[in-house]
Amino acid sequence: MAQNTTPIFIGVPDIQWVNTITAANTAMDGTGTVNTIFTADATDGSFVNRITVRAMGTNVASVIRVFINNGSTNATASNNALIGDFTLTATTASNTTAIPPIDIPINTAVPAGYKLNVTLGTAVAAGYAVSAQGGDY
Amino acid sequence: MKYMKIAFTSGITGEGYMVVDGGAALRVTDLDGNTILDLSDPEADLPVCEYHITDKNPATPEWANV
Repeated sequence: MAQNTTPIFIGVPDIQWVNTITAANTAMDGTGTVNTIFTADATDGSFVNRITVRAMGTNVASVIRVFINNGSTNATASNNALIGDFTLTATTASNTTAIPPIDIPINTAVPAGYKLNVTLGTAVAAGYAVSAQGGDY
Repeated sequence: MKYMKIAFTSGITGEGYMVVDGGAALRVTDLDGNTILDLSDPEADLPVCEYHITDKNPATPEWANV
């Protein structure tokens, strides 16, 4: 059976992000307005280690949903795969107390042109900064 | 209980309120206080819509004072 016995590593580090995500999208299938936090390298694809979610101030409780999109329109549900659904507890802005981050492990090779999209389940006031950390092959 | 004014951008037309208690979003209503999304029930089958906050501290709606 033919197989690749030589591991490959990322060639170029790649960190992408979207700040101040506040709007709600209740769709569970990745359609509607989404926030594209990572687009894989168009030639060889990318590897994403993790997604970090940071509250930017006072927010009500919500959920963040993570979708993989195959590069085609996210308006078609079959182009999206829900890979994560995480509770965001209410946060309060403070300059003396840290707001804990949420790290979502991805550890997945992302094919060329594929995207990682995120949405919030409820509208929040201050918003979230969401970054994806990985690299391009 | 706190009431934030919201505007729907798809799925539902118009404006409404997001009812918040202790930092938790409990429900989304229309302008008359009728529940559109029951966010406190994890089993609820929520209608698909999109919305954003337009006013974090609006005047308390009249229906909330009854």
